[in-house]
Amino acid sequence: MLNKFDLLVPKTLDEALQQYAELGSKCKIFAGGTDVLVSMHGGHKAYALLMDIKNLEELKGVEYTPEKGIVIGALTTHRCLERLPAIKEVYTALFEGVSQVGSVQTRNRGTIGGNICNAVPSGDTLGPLLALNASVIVQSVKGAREIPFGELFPGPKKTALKEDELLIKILIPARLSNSASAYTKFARRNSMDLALLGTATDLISNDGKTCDNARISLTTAAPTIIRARKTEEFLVGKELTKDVMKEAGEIASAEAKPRSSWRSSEEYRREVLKAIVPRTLAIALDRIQKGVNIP
Amino acid sequence: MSTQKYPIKLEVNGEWHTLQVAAQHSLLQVLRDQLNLTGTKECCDEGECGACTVLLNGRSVTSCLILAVEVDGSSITTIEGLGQGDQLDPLQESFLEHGAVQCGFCIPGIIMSGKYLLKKNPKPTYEEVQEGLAGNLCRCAGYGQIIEAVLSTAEKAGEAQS
Ligand SMILES: Cc1cc2nc3c(=O)[nH]c(=O)nc-3n(C[C@H](O)[C@H](O)[C@H](O)COP(=O)(O)OP(=O)(O)OC[C@H]3O[C@@H](n4cnc5c(N)ncnc54)[C@H](O)[C@@H]3O)c2cc1C
Repeated sequence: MLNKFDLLVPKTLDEALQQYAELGSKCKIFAGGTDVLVSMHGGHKAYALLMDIKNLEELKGVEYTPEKGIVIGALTTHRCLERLPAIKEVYTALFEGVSQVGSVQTRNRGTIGGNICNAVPSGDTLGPLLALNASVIVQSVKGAREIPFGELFPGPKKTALKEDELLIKILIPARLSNSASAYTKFARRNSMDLALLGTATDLISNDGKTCDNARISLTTAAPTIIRARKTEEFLVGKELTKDVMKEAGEIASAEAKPRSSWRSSEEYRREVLKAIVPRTLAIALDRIQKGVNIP
Repeated sequence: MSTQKYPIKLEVNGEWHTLQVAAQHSLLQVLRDQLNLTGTKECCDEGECGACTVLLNGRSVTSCLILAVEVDGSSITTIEGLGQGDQLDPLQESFLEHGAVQCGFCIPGIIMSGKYLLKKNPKPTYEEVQEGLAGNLCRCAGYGQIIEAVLSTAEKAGEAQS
């Protein structure tokens, strides 16, 4: 049961932005509601006013071209993304993120925009999007601007969106043919569990052996999602042997800043990182060798 | 805060209804309390257990996490909409045959998830059924029979086609 609240249902983006500019934090935006309605359940959070943005056409649709990359409307559900060949075959790390959110029912309703704006470090799309070098377009009555994913989360449960801005769409650049990506969600069970830890890798290797470039993200390994920059630097130019990947895991484990929580201790999280970072690198490398992630 | 009611139209199991709902009313509450369709169960109210699963425009959703006003104009199928008269849906029959129903509380939700799974994937593997039903909890924990019931429905449908 939910407490009483009022509801705004704008029909156009202009109307929504206008209302949001006037009301700001007095009004809680919701898309799929799978985070917002759960947080309101049992009077836990009481919002007096909700704005349902589900009717805004500008926030819908997915466009993919191998040359330009992919543009994903903020309202796109995880389920819709999971079933798109371009996501599964080309942006595989993101496929591995969206297809592991909650249950089928959650994915049929929950949106990628909601996952991003909810800004919890365990969000399953965040690590893949950071590794894949995504950015987002946000908009207010004053205009639109682009924010790179690396600048989107200034602190835990915070986004860089201003009080009157809506997330409109997500952009991921075009892929190179000698690259592949992978995401590992480490949780206690396969479905319906939040990530204890996660890591995504976007790897470029022209000869299928050497690392020409790697972008590695770590989720739930620090107060916000982070890039494993020292690990990335270490890998460039190295042949990806078992030992090199193992060392990469140790560097990532050392540069992460996990904390102890009731879910698991800091020490345990550091050990898990040593295992999942090399594992994810190996999966990406294998995909390059098999040529499976080609746009 | 206002006690405003919103007029909505819903097609439930093939029949249109015009209803007055408050903003905070979930689809689950409206189905149960206004339309007396109590086959859809209320349990965790947080999207975790799946007992309230219905099909919304053909897609499985947890009706506790959906506001009734959000789905104005939509088509809903609940467990009551599957059979025809005394004739059960083949998936329901299969649950009976396999002894997949113990206390029964979770079964309407599980059957709705099963219907959605079989529509999207008419020949699922054992693992795909597990994954497809992952959003539905059964505390009697007879998952083995439940999964067999779904698999056998798929097999029978396949045989009937070939
Ligand atoms: C049973 C269950 C299991 C779950 N499991 C997982 C899981 O395994 N992994 C995971 O990552 N998440 C999980 N979640 C959380 C949730 O489903 C996802 O975060 C989902 O993507 C949220 O999307 P939504 O559209 O429902 O968001 P909403 O609840 O509508 O909104 C979430 C937040 O984003 C803001 N917001 C939404 N859209 C916009 C926009 N366009 N512009 C500005 N602000 C916006 C809202 O104000 C709110 O703060 C689970 C949830 C449930 C109920």
